[in-house]
Amino acid sequence: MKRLKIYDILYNENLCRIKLTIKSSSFLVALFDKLGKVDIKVKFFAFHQDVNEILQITFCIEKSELKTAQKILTEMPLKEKDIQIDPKIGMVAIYGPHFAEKPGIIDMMHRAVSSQGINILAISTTVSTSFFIIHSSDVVRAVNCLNETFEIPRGKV
Amino acid sequence: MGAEIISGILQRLDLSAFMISSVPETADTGQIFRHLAQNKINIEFINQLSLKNGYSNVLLCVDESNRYSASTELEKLKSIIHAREIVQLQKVGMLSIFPHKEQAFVISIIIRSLTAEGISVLAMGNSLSSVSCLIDEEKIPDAIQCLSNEFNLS
Repeated sequence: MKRLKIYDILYNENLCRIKLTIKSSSFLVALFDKLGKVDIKVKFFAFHQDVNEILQITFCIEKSELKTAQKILTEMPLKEKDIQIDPKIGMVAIYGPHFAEKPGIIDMMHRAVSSQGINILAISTTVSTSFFIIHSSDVVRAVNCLNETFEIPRGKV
Repeated sequence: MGAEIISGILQRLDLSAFMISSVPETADTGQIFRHLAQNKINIEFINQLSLKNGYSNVLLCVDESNRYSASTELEKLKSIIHAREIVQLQKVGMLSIFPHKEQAFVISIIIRSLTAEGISVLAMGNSLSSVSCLIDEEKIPDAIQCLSNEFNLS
């Protein structure tokens, strides 16, 4: 079967994931202001209001920046139960030209990754990119199966 | 803090959002994407997050013209994936601010400025170069004005 052409596959094996459950967006503003002040880069970010108007937030940063982020989090008015940190997280992403108009790309990516028995921890898809957050130990397998599923220009990955 | 420099703001109107809530993590959420793809429905925005209790929420957006068929497919799947609830939001708009350069400030500025204008951010997610947020479509002009004032458009 002809593989769908995309621009590239991106990956990162050295992330950590921070999950928060909070009630107020002002907390989120204060947190990201503080992360910005120490120049912590946000590699993945997704949040939504759930049906009870609680904010469910997941973001990923480089593992090397976790200690600084943890220090900031401890200064915030957060309950221990509302925060979860996973230090061994990775990310795979695809981006390409057809994402806005071609149905089924996310399905192809999801099927490829989950066919390897890889647990998908979070997804953010918007504009031209699909990010999957997975365990860092699964990143190499995920990249290999995405290379078999999609066609990317020679010399990439 | 000075205004962050961004290149632009993209708007996407005429979207319908579906919040598929409390899907057990053991369920195959890939079925959602498969069923919509089989019905030629493009998904414009996805935000799937695991919760702390072994469940996930999936929020997705489709073009308003696909709302009925997407709703029909998702209702068929509801019991198969054991979703607790599917809530539909009509007339949603998406704004994408690019580039974000992975800066935390971009996220805080967007949320702070929109909420200060009384605009509720339903969801946000990043792509390689942009941060997108979902808001009530009626608020899109106000939101663009507000973000244009807040960011230094290059």
